[in-house]
Amino acid sequence: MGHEDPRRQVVIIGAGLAGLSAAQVLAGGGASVLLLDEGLRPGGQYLKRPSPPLGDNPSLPQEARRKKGLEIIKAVKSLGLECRPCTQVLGVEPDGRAGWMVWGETASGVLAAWRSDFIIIASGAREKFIPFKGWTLPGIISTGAVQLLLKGSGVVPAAEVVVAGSGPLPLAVAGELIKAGSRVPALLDYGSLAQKLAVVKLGSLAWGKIWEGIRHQARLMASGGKLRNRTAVLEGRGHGRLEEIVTVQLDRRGKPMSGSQSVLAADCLAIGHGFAPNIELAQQAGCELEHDPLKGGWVVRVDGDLQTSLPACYAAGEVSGIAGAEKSYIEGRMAGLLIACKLDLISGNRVDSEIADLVKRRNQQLQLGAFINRLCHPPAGLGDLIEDETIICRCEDVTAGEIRAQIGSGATRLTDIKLATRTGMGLCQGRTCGPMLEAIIQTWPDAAGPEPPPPLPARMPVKPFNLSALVEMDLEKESEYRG
Amino acid sequence: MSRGKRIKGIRRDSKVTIMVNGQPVQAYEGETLHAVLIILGIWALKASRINHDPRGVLCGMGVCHECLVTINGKSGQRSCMTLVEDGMEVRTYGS
Repeated sequence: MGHEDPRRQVVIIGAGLAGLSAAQVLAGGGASVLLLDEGLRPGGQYLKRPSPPLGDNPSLPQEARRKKGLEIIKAVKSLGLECRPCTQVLGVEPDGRAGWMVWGETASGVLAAWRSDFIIIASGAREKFIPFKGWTLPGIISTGAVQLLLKGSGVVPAAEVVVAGSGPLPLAVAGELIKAGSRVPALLDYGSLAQKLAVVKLGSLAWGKIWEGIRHQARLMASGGKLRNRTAVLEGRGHGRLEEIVTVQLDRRGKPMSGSQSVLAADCLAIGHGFAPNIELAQQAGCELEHDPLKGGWVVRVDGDLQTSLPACYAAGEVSGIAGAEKSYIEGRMAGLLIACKLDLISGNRVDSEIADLVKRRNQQLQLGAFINRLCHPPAGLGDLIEDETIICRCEDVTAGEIRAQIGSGATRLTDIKLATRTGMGLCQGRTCGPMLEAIIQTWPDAAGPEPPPPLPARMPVKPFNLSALVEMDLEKESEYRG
Repeated sequence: MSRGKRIKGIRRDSKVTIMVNGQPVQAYEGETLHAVLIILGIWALKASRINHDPRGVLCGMGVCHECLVTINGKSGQRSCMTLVEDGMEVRTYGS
């Protein structure tokens, strides 16, 4: 650790829409703020855009929220706020009697620690998957990755892309790919039409999303692409890379129908089944979690003021429940205002009416999120879709069969399976396989009960980092840092 | 074999040359390495740890570690989190 930084009032982890909108409020109010982010530039996944001198992608939809988000990035820059991209946060711990110490690997590969009175964890989310035999073949890419390629590098992954999955993202990705010049011969939706049509129950709240969905679907139809509802991928085949996929129809209960299999040529397949919050950092800090399938599974528990169970530790955005960009913006702003009040930068009664409005809008977004997360629930026939040869832990090459053997002999916790098979011990630290393991355990015929299994534990460092960063650390100074 | 394509209508000006498995390749500043590899049709980026099976880009956001490549002699680098730089030397699966 080369340098000791001054103590800040607030360190924000994650420069996505939530972290940015919190930073805007706090820095605008005069707080000393440090914004840390793993990505190449602030903006997170939603506001991903090309790094200069690459131009932006005019074929992407410029929805109002995205435009406003990009304005926040500009505003935050003009406030002179300290932002460190390419910084991997590795853990947080209490700093003496009050406040926090945040550990991370800097862009230059040095281990550093930053102290603050408050922290906001805005670590976002990652994509979830329903694995199938052969899903590790190169050429199979996530729907989110396709969108980031379009947004970040202005690149389509292939001339022809089959898209499959659950929830609204596969349709959006199919539409964006077609607009960018690719062909989407088929969109395989694991859900049913009836499930999706239930969106009208949300009324005016969902109009924007419905309209967007209709436009993407029209684009798919006009280009000759087929939309197949209640259809899943059973297998990916190929020599060293994807060549074809086997699809299967699901019945009304979500179980594969015998005799409904068909083979489809594909050398690029985009897949995705909703999102899971990136809870690991909050979990490592000791924040209480809660399990809510309508929020995306395990999430960080927050109170009405977005405080976690730990003092001076807030959570904002997808990490406390998957509901999309608008909720992240609202929560970032809320957390910023509430902390600004605690720091006496603004008086409480000046923000009361804005907070009340934000709370109302947040509740609406949570309703929308609940609908989307429900669409992304694994189908009841999950067990039949994941054949025993299917790799579950990609990092350690552990198959569903090996995992089922453990469950069959009594393992009920993810930790038991991890210790017996190395599932979740690899480079991604269970981020990819964790939510799948949970689903496999819960759909096991003799599953212990409705209680969800606790997530894999998270410890510092929560992400892999270069050991050379430790060489740069001044160990004698460490006692000072722990003050 | 499918290759990625650069979308038309997006401004790309500063060209860079990177070496991919010993071959010079032209790319543009601001592009991520995984995008350039996909444009080349190089989908197999790393070998899995136990079975040594080919793996490629999955999450594209730094989570899954399936897109690891060797950059300037340093192994295990996430290509999705790396911007191309002139003169960069890259090695992928099986090279």
